[in-house]
Amino acid sequence: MTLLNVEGLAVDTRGGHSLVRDFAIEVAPGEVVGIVGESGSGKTMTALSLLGLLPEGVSVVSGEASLAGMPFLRDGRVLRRPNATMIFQNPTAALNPTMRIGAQLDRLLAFLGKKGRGRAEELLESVGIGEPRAVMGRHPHQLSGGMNQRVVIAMAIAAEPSLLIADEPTTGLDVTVQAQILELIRSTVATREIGVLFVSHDMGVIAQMCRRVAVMYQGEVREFADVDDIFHAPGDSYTKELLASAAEQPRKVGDGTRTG
Amino acid sequence: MTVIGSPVALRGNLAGRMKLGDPMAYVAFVTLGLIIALGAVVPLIFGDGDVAQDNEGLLPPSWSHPFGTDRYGRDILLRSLAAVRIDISLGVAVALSVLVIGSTVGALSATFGGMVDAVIMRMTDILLALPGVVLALIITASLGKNTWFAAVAVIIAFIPLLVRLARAKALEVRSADYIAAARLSGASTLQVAFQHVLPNAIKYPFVQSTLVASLAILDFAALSFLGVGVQPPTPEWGAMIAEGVGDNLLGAWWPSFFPGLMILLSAASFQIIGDWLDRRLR
Repeated sequence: MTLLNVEGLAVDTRGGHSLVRDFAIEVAPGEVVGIVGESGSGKTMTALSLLGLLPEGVSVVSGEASLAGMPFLRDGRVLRRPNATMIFQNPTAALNPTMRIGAQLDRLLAFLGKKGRGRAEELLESVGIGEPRAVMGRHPHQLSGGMNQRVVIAMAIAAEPSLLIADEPTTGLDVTVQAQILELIRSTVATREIGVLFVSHDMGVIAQMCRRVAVMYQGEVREFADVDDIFHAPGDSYTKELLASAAEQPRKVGDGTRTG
Repeated sequence: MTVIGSPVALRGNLAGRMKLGDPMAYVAFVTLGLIIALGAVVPLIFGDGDVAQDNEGLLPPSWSHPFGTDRYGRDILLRSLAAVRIDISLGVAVALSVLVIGSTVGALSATFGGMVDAVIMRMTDILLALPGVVLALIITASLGKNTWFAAVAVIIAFIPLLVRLARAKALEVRSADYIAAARLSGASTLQVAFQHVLPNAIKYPFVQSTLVASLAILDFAALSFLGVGVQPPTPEWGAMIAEGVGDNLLGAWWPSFFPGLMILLSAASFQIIGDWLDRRLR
């Protein structure tokens, strides 16, 4: 059974420059599917286009997409807002700096029609925040990146989406926090049967999180296969290069310091 | 965690905030505070100088009349202080109106973008093409000589400035991730504009509004000086200067000097407070 099904998606700039061509992917409920590629490969544009969040001057020109059997994109036109939410690369920038965490959660819950005493606390506890009351009284800049990312994840699952798009959700975090956040995303979506599109440039993170992955290069999917196959038997020349560059060890120079 | 919320820590924090860190700001706050306090209290006790016409006209500054008297024998100190009610409160009221209207329009313009933005920007272009006082003169000339029309004219003259400023900041805020998140959760453009864009874009317009208060006092006095704002015999600094101009030729400098000094002190105080706010909020 597929949850998200995308076919023939193409994204162009207003000037006719092609950013994404013939993108196709499918995601099953509870599955984490990766999109990997270098900067500028079109992976973020793909994610944004599915959510209708493309920046000005960039638009979907063709493609079909459906979520849980409901088409939301046909012939490049958005039919409805898909029941999907997003986790961002910089969690501190994904929260309104002028509002306390509690106020942001309350507003979101009220907006979703789920306001009730203790709802916000429950939500924060469900993403592993031990002292929800203390966190709710803080502004985003008073919390660590990892804590903010937990809050962002809590807000993302509050709407009970069927699809979650994670755009490099751990790139800005410490390695230890990164592992915790990845585990949180994995457990959260598994119990709730939420499908995830996991956008990253980090092959290691992708290998940890996903069973299947799409490798993107210059706006095209070069390979869409199981992670194991991609790692052990890459079928595409670009995938090979990407893996080789990920495995490359820092070079030692004469005086013993390391470079790149 | 608990220490941060305790009253002791809060008091320390407040004391830290009260430290202005700038002697000029002290002077400005004290000057403006004195002007407002005296303007509020003195006319209640001594009247606004209009009835004391048994004095001789054009008495130079002395102990009984520190600012002297004008040609009708009215006490210039009392009139200058009575004018605080009009000049300072109109300056502040103009600044607040300009802040509210300007930043709201600016935030909406940036959030909606497209045609809405284009139309609003062209309108500000038109308004900005004329200097503020000239624009206000045109408006009062067509509406009529009246205190309220003059105030409205000054408000209209300053709005485009704040619209531009708020829009510039709002454009930056608009592309933030939390705006995308809010849109994703289904918030309408209006909700995004008022709940997320406006609160995050208001800092610079807020600082600018203290400068608007200063400029509004100047412009309002200028309009009254030119005879299209407050009409005599209501005490108002600009109008008082205009009345005193003729007396300058007779060697009586005080009827126009002291109202001018009041304008200078209050406008300069607002400017310095604006500079201080700018540095504090940066």
